[in-house]
Amino acid sequence: MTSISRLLTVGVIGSLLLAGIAIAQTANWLLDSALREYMLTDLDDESRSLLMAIKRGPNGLMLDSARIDPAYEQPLSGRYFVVTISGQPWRSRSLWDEQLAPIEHAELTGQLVDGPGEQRLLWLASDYRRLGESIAVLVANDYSPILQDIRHIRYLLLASGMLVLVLLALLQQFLVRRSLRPLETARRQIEQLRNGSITVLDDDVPRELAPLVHEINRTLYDTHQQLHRSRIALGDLSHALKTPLAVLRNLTDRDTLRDEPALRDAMNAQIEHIRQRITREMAHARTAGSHRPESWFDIDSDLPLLLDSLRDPQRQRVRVATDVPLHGRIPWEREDILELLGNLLDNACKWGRESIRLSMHRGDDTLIIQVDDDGPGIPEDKLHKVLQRGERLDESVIGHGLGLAIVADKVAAYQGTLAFERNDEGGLRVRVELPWH
Amino acid sequence: MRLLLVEDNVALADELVPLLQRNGYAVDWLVDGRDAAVQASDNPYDIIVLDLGLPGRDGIDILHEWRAANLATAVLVLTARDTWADRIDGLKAGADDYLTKPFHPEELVLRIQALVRRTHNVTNQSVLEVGGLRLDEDLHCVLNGTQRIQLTGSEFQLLRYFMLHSEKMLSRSHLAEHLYDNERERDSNVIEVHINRLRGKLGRSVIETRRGQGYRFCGVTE
Repeated sequence: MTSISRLLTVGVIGSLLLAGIAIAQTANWLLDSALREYMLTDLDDESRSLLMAIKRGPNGLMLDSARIDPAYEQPLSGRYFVVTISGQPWRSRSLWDEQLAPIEHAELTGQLVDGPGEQRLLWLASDYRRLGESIAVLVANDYSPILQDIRHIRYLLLASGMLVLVLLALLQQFLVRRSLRPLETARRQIEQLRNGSITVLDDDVPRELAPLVHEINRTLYDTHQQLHRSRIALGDLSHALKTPLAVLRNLTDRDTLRDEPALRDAMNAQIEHIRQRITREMAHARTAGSHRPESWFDIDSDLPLLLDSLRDPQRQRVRVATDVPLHGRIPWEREDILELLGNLLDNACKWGRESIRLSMHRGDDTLIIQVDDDGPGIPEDKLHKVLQRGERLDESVIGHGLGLAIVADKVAAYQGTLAFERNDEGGLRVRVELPWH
Repeated sequence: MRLLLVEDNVALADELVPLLQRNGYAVDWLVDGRDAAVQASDNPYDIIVLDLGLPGRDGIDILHEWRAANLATAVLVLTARDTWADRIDGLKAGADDYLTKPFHPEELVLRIQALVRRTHNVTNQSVLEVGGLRLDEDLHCVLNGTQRIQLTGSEFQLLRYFMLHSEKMLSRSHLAEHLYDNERERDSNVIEVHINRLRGKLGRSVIETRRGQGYRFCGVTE
């Protein structure tokens, strides 16, 4: 996954580094060539004054040592000359017994050549004619102190460059973090949106982010509206179908049909089939997974009401024990959990003889709901049927009751698991695990 | 036993009214929620069967209003809203029982029967057993020991009301109010006639007359 902040950091630091190196190199080179130019001018003056020191002696032209800079007399002083008068070389005393090697290489002017010791020499070779003779003057200066200075300057540049770079990097990090903070806020808000602590994203965001946030908010609103509309429509449809079904069922009780039991039973079976279908699909379609905490299941207020509703005359014979150490709201839609628990308990009441038991616990990232009855249980071969994530109960098990099919649909919608087990009393234990998000 | 049926579906009401009458209830039928809200407070109903999806006003609303006004009449909610959340909202609003459409006609009758007995603190068994008499509400007959006596609809209605209010003094006008719906003319002499017929079938001492006060069910004494 790419990271905007890493991309920005690498890009900015990398380009700063490249630019820094280029500038340092160029500065270095400019400095070096300026200094060489300057020294060559010096050397040119030097060679002219040497020329002036040539005089006529007893054996022809000679170099008047009294008119030579004393630095040329001191051995290895870093200043040297070789003056060739009519093929006769006059060398400075400073050269000692070193050779200024390729005297004939006049083209080395301006170049650096290895000199005595660690010295690096800058050369200037010039040809003159004086007093009727051709004279070649070669002067050289030690350039290594300057090279050393340049090296120092380079280190200094490098060190200060690094410092600036580090400071810039820190500044840039700060700026990147600061400018990406709205993104981080939006990310955290989307998380809150998911777990339901907010319902819309805060739209007080930078201009660049605003279209995204508005789009998300609009999609949320649309989805919510659409869900609401389809729920209402489904409710209306269900209502519109069920009242005529109630009429039909009452009609089958008429005397004319009482005399035709086969016809009556067939009609009732079909009516029941339609009813079950409507109820199951309604329950399935209404499963919402709401993000609004105010519509979440509240253990403290909803559970007692649900248990109360079970105590109607038809179910009075069965005692309901509970083991629910949870309190407050749990993050599932109230309607869905009521439907799930209601159907589980209703089923247990139907099959239970004396008592049933509801337990709700929090496991590792799951909500574990267990309903036990002391009834006959379900046959072994059906017992092993365990529903995995997202799986809908197949029609064969639905024979055990519409309620369990609805439970299975809810569990599937919440990506949970559903298991049927035999408990110690031989009754049925239905175990539901829902991922706690 | 007076029953108010609030149901907006005419076809369903057409089936339910005769069914309930056959089972000995004096039935008033209303379609509009607004009428129901008023009429239930003005008449001494013993039980109300209330549909939730009503024109005019929502059933749950009306139920809230009744309970807020301390109307204690037992209410059975009859509705197509069949989720547990709806059921619990209904019970929370003050419904005593909740039956979802479509339903078996017998189930409705049984639920009403059970609800009536519950409001009179009588245990819910297949037969109503009070004061040495056993009343079979399905077959409209009464068992006095081993003797089986068939009753007419009016006699059944009257005896059931007495058995549910045993040991209580019931005036003639009270009986008239609770046994006849708004359509029928209330002639208290008719009640006198039915009481005498019951005495003829079960013995004189079964219902006691207190002059100026009314009647009291005493049951059969060994």
